Amino acid sequence: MAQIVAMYNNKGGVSKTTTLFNLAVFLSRGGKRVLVVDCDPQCNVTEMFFASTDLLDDPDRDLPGTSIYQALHPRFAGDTRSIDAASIQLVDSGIYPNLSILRGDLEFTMAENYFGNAWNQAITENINEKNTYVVFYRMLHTLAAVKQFDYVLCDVGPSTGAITRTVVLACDGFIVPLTPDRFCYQAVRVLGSVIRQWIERHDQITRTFTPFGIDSFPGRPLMLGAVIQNFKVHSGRVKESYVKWQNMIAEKIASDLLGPGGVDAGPHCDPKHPFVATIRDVGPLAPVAQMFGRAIFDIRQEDTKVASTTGQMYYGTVWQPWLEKMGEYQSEIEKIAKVLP
Amino acid sequence: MSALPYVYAAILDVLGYRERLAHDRKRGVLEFKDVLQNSLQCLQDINDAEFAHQTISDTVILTCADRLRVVDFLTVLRDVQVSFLVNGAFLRGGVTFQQHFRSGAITYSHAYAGAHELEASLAIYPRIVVDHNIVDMFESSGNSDMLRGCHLLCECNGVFFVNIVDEDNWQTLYEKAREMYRAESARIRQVEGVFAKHLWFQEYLMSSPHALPKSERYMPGIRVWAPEGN
Repeated sequence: MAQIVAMYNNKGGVSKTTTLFNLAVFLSRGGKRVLVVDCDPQCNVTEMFFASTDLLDDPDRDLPGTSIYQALHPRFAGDTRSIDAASIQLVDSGIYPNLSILRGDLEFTMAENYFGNAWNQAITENINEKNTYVVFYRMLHTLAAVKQFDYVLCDVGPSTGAITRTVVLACDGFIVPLTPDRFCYQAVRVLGSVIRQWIERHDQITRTFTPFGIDSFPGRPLMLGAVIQNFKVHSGRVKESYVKWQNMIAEKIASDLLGPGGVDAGPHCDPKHPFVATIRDVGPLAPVAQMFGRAIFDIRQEDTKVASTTGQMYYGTVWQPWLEKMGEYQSEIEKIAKVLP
Repeated sequence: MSALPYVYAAILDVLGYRERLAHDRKRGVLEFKDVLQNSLQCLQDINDAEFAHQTISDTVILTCADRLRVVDFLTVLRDVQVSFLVNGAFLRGGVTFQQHFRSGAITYSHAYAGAHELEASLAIYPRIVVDHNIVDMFESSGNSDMLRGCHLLCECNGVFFVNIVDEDNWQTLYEKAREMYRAESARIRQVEGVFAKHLWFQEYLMSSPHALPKSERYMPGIRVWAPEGN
């Protein structure tokens, strides 16, 4: 059975999308069949996915495949109980075999209302809202089973809204990307209780499904680990100011996010040492990778032409640090892959 | 909050109760009491272990705790409505499947509240409205054939209601409804709301696939206001 994982933090700008895309590429290159599901109406991972093609050049041109909003719309319209996997056309990556996407859609922001209503009404006898409540989980599992994916990776926006709740609860686990600063420290303080409230509400809702003979879903995502990233290194050492925030955040994860009233830790997540990977600031590698729709650890030497002011690709002592950073980045992504269920 | 058991609950109201009671009091007779008693005879033989029922004044309340006995429950409701009609009374009601608690003198019931709400807001005509969520429930669990196959539901404008007409009873129901209208047509035609209820029931009968071809509408229809003789 496929493992469904989200990269989630209600704080924005912590490289959720970048980390998720790179993890997806890493897993697919390791022979796993991976589906990326763009659940963020900002559609950033969709942009990243299609950046290797010329499909983004014309903004008026429709992207291929079914969007997440198109896929779910029959349920939102009340026409169907669950989504038929055969009606969803996924798009395969042009450069990474085994990697596919259920692309994002700007209109998916409308799902905030549909899922919000379901969140409020599914606890009543309203069968339509009960079906909307479970449709996302059912869709992911049906897709994964029919198309034989090993992993489904969900990209969500930095919010605590109904879309995010629906996606995170549908997952087996989630990874929390963080930056070592005050803002992430504050975010971690509330994240555990927020997700715990979602789980408790889910339990209340699910209890009302049984009398109607309708199946629900577990709704107990595990925290698989945290990833600290974007910190700066000076003379081979992490700057002390980052280390301080990193340590404070680790304490908060142990006491609040994974503590009593928080969420359960995954099998490879030690609450006292929650960081399963540490990714330093990769500088210009990220924008270059985004330009070509490639993983950061898979930038080709010729791609560096766009990074140089002369238009010539890097080589020798300039290219060498790139190779080292790519190798280092890949080894951290590999660590994340190891904590997946 | 721990969940209570879920039941099907039907709340059925006898239409025209106050008028018929007033009629009996004025004349010093017990005609309507006999109608009620005779109509409720149909509940004598139902299995009390499966279907609970009580009658308070003009309200009949029935419950069924087994979700999968929906067809049996609808059959009971059909029989009750037919029985009242045969005895000269229209019923209006609502049916829901919701939480319900009853212990001694205490009744706490979302199901009663929901059924009453349907009866008061949606039934309008002499029909027992079935909460669409009950239909959705069976559609969702892949058991829609159970409901569709029993021919015990009608749908009109998104509203589901108990189908009381079949091949065997159409003529009886038609004659009874016609008799009810004709017996009080003068009064019925003075009260638009009552007239509309009879008219709806006539259309329900005439739209049935079991309607006899030669049977005519017994109530005046809509006509264009034009010079006489045209």
